[in-house]
Amino acid sequence: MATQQMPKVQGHVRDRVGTRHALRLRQQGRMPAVIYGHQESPLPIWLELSEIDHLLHAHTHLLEVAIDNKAQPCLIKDVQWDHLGSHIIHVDLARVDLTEKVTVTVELDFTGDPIGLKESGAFLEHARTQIKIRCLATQIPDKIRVDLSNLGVGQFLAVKDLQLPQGVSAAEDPETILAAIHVAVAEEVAPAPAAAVTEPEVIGKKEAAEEEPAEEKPEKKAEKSK
Amino acid sequence: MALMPKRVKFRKQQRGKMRGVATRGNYVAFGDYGLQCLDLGWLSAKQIEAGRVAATHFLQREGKIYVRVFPDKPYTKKPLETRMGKGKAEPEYWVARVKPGTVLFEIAGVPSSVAKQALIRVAHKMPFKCRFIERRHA
Repeated sequence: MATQQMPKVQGHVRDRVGTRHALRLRQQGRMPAVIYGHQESPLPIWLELSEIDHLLHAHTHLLEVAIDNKAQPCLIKDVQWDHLGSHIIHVDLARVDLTEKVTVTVELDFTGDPIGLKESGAFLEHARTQIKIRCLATQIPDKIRVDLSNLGVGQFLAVKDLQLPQGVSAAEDPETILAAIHVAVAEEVAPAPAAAVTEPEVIGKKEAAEEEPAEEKPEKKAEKSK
Repeated sequence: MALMPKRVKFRKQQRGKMRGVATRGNYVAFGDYGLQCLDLGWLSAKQIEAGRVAATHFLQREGKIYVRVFPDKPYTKKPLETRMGKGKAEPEYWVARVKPGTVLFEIAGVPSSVAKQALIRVAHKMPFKCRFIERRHA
């Protein structure tokens, strides 16, 4: 469980907000963040990158943010990455009451060697690698283990088949498929069409082409007779 | 056969500007490993097909390949030895707009080392600098 030792980080209120100020913060080794929720006004803050970065990479969901000697538990709501997905550039933190139920996304940890993978050409498809769960803020699991060892070819594992820890319920459709075993099918060589399509159909072009000649013909005939 | 749209609203398009970074389609969404583009430009349908064939040939029916880009922009070209003018030329081929960060291909169902070797082969077919990436965790 993530809450056995709630990590603490020091937050500092940001006086100036905006792209350029956020950029300057990042250049100084700080990470811009925002705290919101519980019907209080949003508070732009910054955190030390060295403190928060490893927590975000370690699947942390809950942390305690101290601002002006006042600590408050916060849930990591959203993480923004740069365009290459290399660095985290911003964090959204939501104020949370430790006795309330929250909806969070947790990682699925697939274990076991599925029996279906012994067949040639079979491969395991992870339709989902995360799942939304609902539980107390103090009971958020780091990962949810999923045993795939009994999965055969053509079989799948759905949300309803998951064995969730006590007090945790899935916040998704029970029929949602999490993992399945398929057999790769050799690509069929499609027979070449009689007339190879080289251009796509233009929307609305056919109708106009059909209507125009019918209207133009009488005028042309009238002109010729003159 | 190379990819192209089935229906379009207009046969020809203006060239447009190439700028910015990928704000969508810039993470591994379907597979476990991906090939991420680090440059900016147009990727033709032929080049996409060449990459797909290279990966399919290397994987030999193992795993699954996802092509994350689609060529939806027509590229027009005037015939050789033609004088300038006389309107915009006919579409020659189709291209996909690619920005730094765009994930071009993804692979699922194979070990990391195999996926890396396959995607390196794909990268050689691409007209851009590319890199191998893994699925990002929550």
